[in-house]
Amino acid sequence: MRLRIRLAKLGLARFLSHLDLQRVVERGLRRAELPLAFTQGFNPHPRISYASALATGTSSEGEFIDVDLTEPVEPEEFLARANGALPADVRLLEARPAPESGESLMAQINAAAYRLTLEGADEAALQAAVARLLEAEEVVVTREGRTGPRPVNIRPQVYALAVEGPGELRALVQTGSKGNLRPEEVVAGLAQLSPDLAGVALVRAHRLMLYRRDPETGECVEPWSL
Amino acid sequence: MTEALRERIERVLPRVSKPARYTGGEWNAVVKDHDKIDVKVAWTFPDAYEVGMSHLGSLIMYHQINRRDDACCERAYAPWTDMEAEMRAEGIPLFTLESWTPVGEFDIIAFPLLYELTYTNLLTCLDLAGVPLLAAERTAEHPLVIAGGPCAFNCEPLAPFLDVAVLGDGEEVIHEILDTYKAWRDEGRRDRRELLRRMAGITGCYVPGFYEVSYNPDGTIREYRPTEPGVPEVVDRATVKDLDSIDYPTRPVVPNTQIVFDRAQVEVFRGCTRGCRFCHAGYITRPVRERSPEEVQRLAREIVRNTGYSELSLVSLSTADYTDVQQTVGRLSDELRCDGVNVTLPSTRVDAFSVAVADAVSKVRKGSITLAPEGGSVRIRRVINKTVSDRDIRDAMRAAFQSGYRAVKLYFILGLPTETDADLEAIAEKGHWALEIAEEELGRQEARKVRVTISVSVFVPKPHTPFQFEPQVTLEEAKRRQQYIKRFLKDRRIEYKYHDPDVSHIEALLSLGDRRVADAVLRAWQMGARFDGWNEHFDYDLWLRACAESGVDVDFYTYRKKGYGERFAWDHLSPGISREWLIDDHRRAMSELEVEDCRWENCDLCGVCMRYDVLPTLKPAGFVGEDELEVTDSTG
Ligand code: SF4
Repeated sequence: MRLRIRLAKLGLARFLSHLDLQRVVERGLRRAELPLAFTQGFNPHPRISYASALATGTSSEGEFIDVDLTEPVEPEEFLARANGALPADVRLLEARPAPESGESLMAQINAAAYRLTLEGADEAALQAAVARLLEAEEVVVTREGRTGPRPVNIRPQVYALAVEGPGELRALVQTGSKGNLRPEEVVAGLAQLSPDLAGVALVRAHRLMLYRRDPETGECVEPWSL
Repeated sequence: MTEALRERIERVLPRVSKPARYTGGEWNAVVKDHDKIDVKVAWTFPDAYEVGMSHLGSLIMYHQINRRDDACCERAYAPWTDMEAEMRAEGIPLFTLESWTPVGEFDIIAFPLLYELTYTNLLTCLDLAGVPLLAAERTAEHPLVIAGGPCAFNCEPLAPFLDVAVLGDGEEVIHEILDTYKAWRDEGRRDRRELLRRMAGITGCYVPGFYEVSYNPDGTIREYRPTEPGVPEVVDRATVKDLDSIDYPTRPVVPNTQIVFDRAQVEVFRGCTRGCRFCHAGYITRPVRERSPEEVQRLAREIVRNTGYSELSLVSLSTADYTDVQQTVGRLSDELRCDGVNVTLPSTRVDAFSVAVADAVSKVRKGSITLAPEGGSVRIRRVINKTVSDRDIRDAMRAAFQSGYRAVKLYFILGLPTETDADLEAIAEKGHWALEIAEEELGRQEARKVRVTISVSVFVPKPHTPFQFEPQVTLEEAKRRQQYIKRFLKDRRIEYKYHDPDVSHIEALLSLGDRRVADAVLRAWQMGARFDGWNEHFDYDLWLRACAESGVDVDFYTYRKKGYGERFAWDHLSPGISREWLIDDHRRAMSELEVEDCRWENCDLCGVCMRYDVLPTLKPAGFVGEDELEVTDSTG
């Protein structure tokens, strides 16, 4: 049996790296003594697959994992037992049975929604910068790559961007293996379009949800229906 | 207060490397209400989180303190240099991971001292805690600063900074320390000297401030004189007689982030009497005391359940020597395999038997196996009492290739007493042996894939060992010998690894140093020395400058051959071994004579057991005979 689970990484746990999170979740599920299915081979590991890697420092309430089990467990019972064995800042929010075949979540997810909290941002300047970014054809920022910094046009990777409140943005951006836009890059793009935002700092990035976005229609579906 | 501090810490974390080292929140971390606690201990590891969290002794002591209702133990670690800079810039004090409480607000700050190159980090921690570095400047308001672990047996280079050093096994003595502290505090927490006097009365506790040292004109020590009535001339160590009677942590803190030894650990025995003459650990932890196989199995099972670890390690100074090793390992592997848990041994003894034991548990893809003959030639191995024959080495290599290993790592020590170029050539020769044996076992074709690593470290003479009288080889000579070995390595499949000997030189200074070396430690720290055990941070020239400025002659401590009659800085800190025995054993070393292991053979009268009323304790399994084991094997 396979369960699809929505997972949250909150509070100080946001400083865990993706590898750290994987380690924490695996150990928690082992402690909960759930009937985990293991990989074959010399070094067996529970079969847990992640929809997306979450950056160190970013919190989330929208991570998804698929967990394979050797016998059926009621989703509610799974959540209760697992949450009883996980550190307080890593929570399983919801679980539903998932299809056992088909493409992996990782291969299907291509968009993510974030809430970004900024400091030192003038409200009006922020509004103007967001409008300008959405109108622009091209917004070039420097991306730190493995081979060093290089300029990239991030505009095509921003699907939606809006000011939600004082110093707070909501962004829908590309994520996954085909292209990944980091929250800092959105802020860098805004700062570039509006000199008033030069001193602005991203103090918190929080991932809200992952999606499969249809590139033609722009329609987004949550991992539950994949 | 702590909430505000937590917020300030959170603000700097996005700017530092590996921030998860500073966030706490781990499974099994113990968070207590400080209002209901009498004595608060900040267990402060003077190295990075990933090193400190791997230290079994710290997990044991954390449990010993926290199992009391009237005490709490919280953890702090030396902040990495980027974090230290942020903390200083923002005025953030050293804090504990459990509650973000400033370390300076605890009653006791406890430092485990595992290796000398952490001494400057200890000063960083004290300084960031806002505690005066010098014990003499602390008042009744300040925390009591204590230190324990292997280096406590010569903590003289730290003497001015420590209130109390604790010698030996900590599990029982810590309770005496906490009780004593509590009583003093209940009486009004007035006279710090009075507290120290009482501490000095506990077996295992050393109060450096209660001794006056005088020196001879040639710079050697004349005498240590106790300055308070009732303070012992020689401080005895604390000794746990039976490991089975000691409560062992079955709910160790499980790290969220990667650490060095990221696995469950069960200590199967303490002490080692193989008698390798260079090995500090072997002389300060005598005699061998085993935990019973039944207890090992029970603990292993509980720890795995309580942590979710996928690997369990049976640890000790030489686990292949554990009486019930084969059966215990077999049983545990069979039992834990269904939960996807591997059983591992931390090291392999150099013989076919231990390679077989290691192989039996190795469920991971065959990587490399590590063998440590330590000395290249039979002769030098007799000098260091590493009782491994050339045949053992060949058999171990053969067993390794037969069981599927394709990489062998060989560890040696360079600069051992009496070493000649012939002994160095013998080191190189062992690399070629491994290749020959690989060809015999695997055929020429397959043997092409074999990798042999020869890793050579520089000998550091250690206190309380028979080699305490010996000088360290000079820097220039160490470099020459390193290069000399290289000349005899003639195969691309052999990788040769050696370190800059200058790290070992400073390690020797801090190992063999006396109180006067403390000035150099302080000066080096002031000049910026941090994380000296890490290559990227170690700065030899800085240390030499610090020594010069503080009038410390490094060569006096490190390159001088010492007489049997010399009074050493550590002679009043006793692991229980008599000077006469050390002299005898040094003489035997010079005559290339081996000594037997007293756990299996006769007592050699080193002095420990008589002094501390203990005995070597071996514990064969009580409940599984060989017949039953057969059954277990065939089902597994
Ligand atoms: S006193 Fe004897 S039995 Fe005890 S550790 Fe020393 S040599 Fe071994």
